[in-house]
Amino acid sequence: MNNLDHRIKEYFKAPESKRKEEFINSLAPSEISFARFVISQAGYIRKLTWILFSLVIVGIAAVPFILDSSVIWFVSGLMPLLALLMVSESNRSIRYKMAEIESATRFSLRSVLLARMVLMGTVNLVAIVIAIPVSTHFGDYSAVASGLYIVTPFLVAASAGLYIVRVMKGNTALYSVAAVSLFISLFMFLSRDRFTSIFIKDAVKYWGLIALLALVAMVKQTAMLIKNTEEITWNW
Amino acid sequence: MLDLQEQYDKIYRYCYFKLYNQELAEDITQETFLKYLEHYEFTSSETTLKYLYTIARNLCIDEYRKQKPVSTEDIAEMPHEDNIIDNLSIKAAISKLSEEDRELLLLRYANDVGIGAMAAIYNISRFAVRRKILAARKRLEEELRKEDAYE
Repeated sequence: MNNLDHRIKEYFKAPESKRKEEFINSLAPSEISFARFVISQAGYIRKLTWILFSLVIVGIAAVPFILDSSVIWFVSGLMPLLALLMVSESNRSIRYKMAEIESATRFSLRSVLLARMVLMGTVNLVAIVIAIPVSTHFGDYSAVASGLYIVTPFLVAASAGLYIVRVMKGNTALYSVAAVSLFISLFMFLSRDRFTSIFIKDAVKYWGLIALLALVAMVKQTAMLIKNTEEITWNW
Repeated sequence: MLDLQEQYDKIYRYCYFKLYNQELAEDITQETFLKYLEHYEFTSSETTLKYLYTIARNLCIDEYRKQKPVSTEDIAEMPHEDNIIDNLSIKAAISKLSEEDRELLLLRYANDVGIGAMAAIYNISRFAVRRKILAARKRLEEELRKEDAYE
């Protein structure tokens, strides 16, 4: 450092801070496990979302007792609605910056969003775990085929929805996600009678391929959405 | 990973030389870190610096608007660690620089903020940052020549 650099540095010496230690000590966070943190986010997800989740899951479990056939088509038609709930709730957290108001101040929006998606993903997994044996037992397809017919619409709806909320803003995003989910649901409801060829045994491998691609897309979109939350928050 | 204590000192220094008031500088420094920690954990380097200085600057601007403007003479007369500096010409020269030049010199030479981080803070290219720093330094040298000529 030359003489002028040194003189500049010397000039910019401020009086010693009187309250630094006290402030920094007050920031020391208490320990919290990730599991506890995830569970703590349950209270910040809207009650309506939880009610709708519950209704869908109950619907899945109850459908064999209501319909004498078409169980799997009804169940797989419900799965995109679960994806819609998950995506719309995640979008709400970002759009209205609810996380920064609702959460403890020491957690980033990114952490909160990830925790909420883990929580809702777990609920969706419960729904899938219920749906597959129910559909297999009351249907005409193998467990693998039933699983694919249930999981694939969910994954396609979720990956498309996450992409939409990442690239679109505002209500347009939400309406678009709803439209995509409802389209997929409707397709599954009607497909039994209209598109029977896609449910033959030989087509199962294509369902598997679509499910795999949709899974990869969903994971990628989730990662990009969470990464983008940092930029969304700070608009100076 | 940035050291919290070190960055506290730097942000405090930044705020002090914006407002020339120790109590206010402490308040705004703490508010800066609280606002930052509301959304982020203390992790990445350039991004953290960008956000910290941006928050601090905005808070200082808000506070500055509430106060009466600090004149060039006031800045030259402000008390700071001149038991170490007994070179009055540097004080007088820096006080004659623009707010922007003082900020550039403080960030670069006193707070050791890197060119990349400064580019992120100002949202300009690294080349533009280097150019501005060189220009500020040149203006300081000219003022110093004038001050030394009077001594």
